[in-house]
Amino acid sequence: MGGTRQNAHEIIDRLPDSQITSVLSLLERIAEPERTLDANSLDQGPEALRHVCEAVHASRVLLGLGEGWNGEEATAISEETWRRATEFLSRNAQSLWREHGVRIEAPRIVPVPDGTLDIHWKVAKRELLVNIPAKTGERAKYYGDDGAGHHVVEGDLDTAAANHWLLMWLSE
Amino acid sequence: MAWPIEEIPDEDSLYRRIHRVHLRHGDIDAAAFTNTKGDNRMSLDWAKYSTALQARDRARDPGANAIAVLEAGRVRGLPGQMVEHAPVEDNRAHSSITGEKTPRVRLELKRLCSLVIPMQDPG
Repeated sequence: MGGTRQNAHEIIDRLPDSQITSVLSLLERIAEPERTLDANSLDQGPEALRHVCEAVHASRVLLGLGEGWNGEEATAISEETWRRATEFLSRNAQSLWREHGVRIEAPRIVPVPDGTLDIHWKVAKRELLVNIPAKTGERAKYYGDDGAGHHVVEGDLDTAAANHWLLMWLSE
Repeated sequence: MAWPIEEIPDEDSLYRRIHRVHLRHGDIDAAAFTNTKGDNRMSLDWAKYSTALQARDRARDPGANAIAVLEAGRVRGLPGQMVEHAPVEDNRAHSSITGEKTPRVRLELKRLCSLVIPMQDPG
């Protein structure tokens, strides 16, 4: 068994960087299937959404931020909030690609001191901020514009509903 | 000693600490502009009574923070935001931006500010 594990490490070490993410995703699915539902659906999606998948995976590090992570009184990011944010992102990125053939940029997923998560896109002609609340059942708030206060979208939404129209706006 | 509360002129500067989590390649996240836990206001230091360096050094871990500057009058132009001097015993410069920090307000604050002390050791 020990030799098998060693062989696995050696094979991984020989892989080019471009394949590491895919292998890591596969191993995570096997090791922790209940934690990777959202990312799984993206992993099975088209190559065009790989960058979004990588952003989702990278954001898992936020779950390691404990109470007071900003050196003051910040609230830790819960698994539930992270899952809600990444599922919102994954589902809508997939829908946008599948239904309209539109590929969105990968956002930055940022912890907020109150325990919520920001999903932030800044693209050529648009900027969008979606705040995923920490409280179950609370609606997410969003604001977007063209960087100069025009073409504004603002409101709140149910993260479980289809919201890919908002990502479509981002890509206009 | 109780410091008198003064009116902060529109043209005056306010310093905001930015934790390294909210910096990326010199760009500041909107998440850096949130109210204090359990309160309706965000703390800053008024440049009349504090240097940027002093503002940074008031952090529990100064090395983990950068300092951004905002102009009071431009902050007052944001929806629902008030700029107030709120001195405390050990910090005469302490001030607040009161009002709900909606995604719009946070994004606008991010756009209005600029770094005056970057991270010494960017993460």
